[in-house]
Amino acid sequence: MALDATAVLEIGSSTVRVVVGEVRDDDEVTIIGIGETESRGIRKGEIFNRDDAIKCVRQAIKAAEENRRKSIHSVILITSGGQAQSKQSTGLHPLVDPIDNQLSEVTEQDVDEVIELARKVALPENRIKLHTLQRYFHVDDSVNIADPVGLAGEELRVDMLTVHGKRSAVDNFRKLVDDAPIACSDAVFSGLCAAMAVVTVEQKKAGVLVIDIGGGTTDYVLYHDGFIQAAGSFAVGGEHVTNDISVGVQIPLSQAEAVKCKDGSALTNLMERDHNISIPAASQGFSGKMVRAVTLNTIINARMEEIFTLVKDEIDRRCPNMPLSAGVLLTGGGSFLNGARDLGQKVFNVPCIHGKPFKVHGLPSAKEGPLYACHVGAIRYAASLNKPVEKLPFGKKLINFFWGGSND
Amino acid sequence: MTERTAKTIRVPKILVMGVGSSGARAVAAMSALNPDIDAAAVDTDAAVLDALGMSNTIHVGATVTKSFSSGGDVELGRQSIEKDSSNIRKQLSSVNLLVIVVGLGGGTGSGAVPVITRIAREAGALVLTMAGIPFKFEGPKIARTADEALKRLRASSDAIIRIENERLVDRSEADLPAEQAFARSHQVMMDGIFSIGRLLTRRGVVGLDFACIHTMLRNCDGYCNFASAEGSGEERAKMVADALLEHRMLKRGRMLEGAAGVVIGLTGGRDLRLCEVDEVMSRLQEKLPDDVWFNFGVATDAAFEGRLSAIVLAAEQWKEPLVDQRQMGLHFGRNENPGQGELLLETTGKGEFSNLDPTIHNNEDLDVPTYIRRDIKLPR
Repeated sequence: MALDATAVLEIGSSTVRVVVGEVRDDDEVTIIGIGETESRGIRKGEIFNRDDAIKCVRQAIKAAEENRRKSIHSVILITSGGQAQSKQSTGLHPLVDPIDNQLSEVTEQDVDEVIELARKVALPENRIKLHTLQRYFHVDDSVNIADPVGLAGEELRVDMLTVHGKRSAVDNFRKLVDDAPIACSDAVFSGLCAAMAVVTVEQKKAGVLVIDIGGGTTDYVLYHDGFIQAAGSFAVGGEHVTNDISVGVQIPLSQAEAVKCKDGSALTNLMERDHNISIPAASQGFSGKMVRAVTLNTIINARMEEIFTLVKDEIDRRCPNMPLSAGVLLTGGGSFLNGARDLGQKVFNVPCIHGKPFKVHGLPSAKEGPLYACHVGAIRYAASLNKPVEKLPFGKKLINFFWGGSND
Repeated sequence: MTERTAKTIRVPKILVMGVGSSGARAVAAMSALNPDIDAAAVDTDAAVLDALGMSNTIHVGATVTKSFSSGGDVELGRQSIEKDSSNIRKQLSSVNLLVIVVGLGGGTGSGAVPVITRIAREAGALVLTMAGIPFKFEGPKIARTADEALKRLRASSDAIIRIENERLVDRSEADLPAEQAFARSHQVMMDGIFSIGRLLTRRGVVGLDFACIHTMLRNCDGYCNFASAEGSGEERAKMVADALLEHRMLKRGRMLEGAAGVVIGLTGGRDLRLCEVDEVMSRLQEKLPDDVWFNFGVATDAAFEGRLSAIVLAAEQWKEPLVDQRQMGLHFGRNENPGQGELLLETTGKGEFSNLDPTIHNNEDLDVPTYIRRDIKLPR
């Protein structure tokens, strides 16, 4: 039984992209429609020109509809949530039977109740909950239990991780989509989606960090021991690199973007001291320029190293001494920058590779996989919500284990 | 180069700028002797500028110091120049190479030069700074001021030539009058400007220009020490070589032994012989380490008939890595008066993000390019 196709919409700072796909029974994602358009009116993951942004969204949706030859009625919105952050919360539930005052076994009902309790996280007015992800259970003194059903104890606790974003940012994007007009069924955090598409169970256990470098934002998700440990987003990305180049060597933004993609590198190579890059003239007002490669790369290196260091400092602060045995996975457009992976390896001191979505058909090319990671992840996420709830404990466990109760 | 090509090819424009009273005096003396070179003097003290008798003087900070000197206050020096930065910017708009002459340790020089170098950088000019470092007896306060100004300079200057006043005088010369000691500092600074001026403008048999110094310093990540010597008569080559090897500015040759890079410029008359060039060069070469970055130039000039003049620029590596401006700001704040700083209204380098909500993280605006915030010197 194939599920209904899901359309996901990502309104990025550089590209607005709509991807339609379905999840087959064997857990393979098939992409059946892609529409994308250059983004206007969005900066650093927030709207600054609504009219332009709406036009872009309409264009992208239209392109996807043409590509798929079927209309799209509702989408899932992928957002980086205006600098999303994560917060830990704990739910506590007594297990002692009040009547005969004895230790009792943990039942599925207890588990549901304690999760429900932990879900109720108090957030400031201006924050909105995006996901609540279940982590470990504790029964009395035994900690870090994955599945407590059947264990006996006095009290059951659960650790949850709440990913929350800026309310105004998320609501405005939802409103934008509603006005497009198209129904917006859910909003999901882009970093989490990217991670869902590219991380295997094994990597989650060993410890892996997924960094999604977009145009205006950089999202990260840290896994260890099979569970999500931290997530968040910074409002810096590839466009900052472009802007730095534009300011640093005094060339127009479009030229800066082109030279960044073609000749730029995140590593400064001492061998290319005398290598010059010629920047071609533009049709209007720019007469071409020669730039030393080492100048260009020094600018890019400074920014990229800062982006990686921001993430590193953040995870060091939240989860000190967390091993990254499975390395760092880079997704998003920013990860295609030359030398980005090598620089990541240098900063984190673990292997750093492109995160490519697996078990997926119909992407334009395998090489572009990291670009579509968060869309594939979002399609998987949507499918996990729509799946009829299986009564088998194993099925439930599976859902809770990987996408733990995230249907918030 | 013939006259004709000189007209068709755009010759790089060089401006020598003296900043602060000592720098302005040195430049005034230079321009009196050699009016061909474009020169400008910048100071807060109107009286000093008036006494120079130069055509191109820039009086800065009239509203800040009321036309007096900055009185050794670096902060006043900085404010003065920031107030009148548009004036400086105008002066620098068409300049390709800016040579700044400054005596560090005072108020105007130490405060203004880092700002001027930054403005020059933004205007796209290369910057060569000749910085006089104060005598030891001027006290630790002035030494520290000079040291900090030098660190700031380093971030935005393409090449720095350090002239240590301390090395100018010999401890054995006990009866050297104080006035003469300071005059000697001026003399050396002037010598330096002359030689550099010659180096940059005269076309030699073997060419040497600013790019050579720049390349050397880029390769060595350091600053230059400067020494010059002159000789005349039959023995001139030997005299020059002896003088250089015994030169106080090069610590009697010890500087050469540890140098990371060396540039030697020789100037002589039309009677300059190859064996003389050979003698000077080979005697210096003996002292130099094997892996040194080496470049030399020979120029002839009719005015040098019967004479031989040599300058040596020896690169010395910075002892500490490039310092973060922010840390320095903290350091500065503790030692100097903790008065309220002035908010800079420029949104430097934010480019397309300048009208958006800033992204503040750990008190840094992430929209400003990283290399500006970290003060990373962009190689050109």
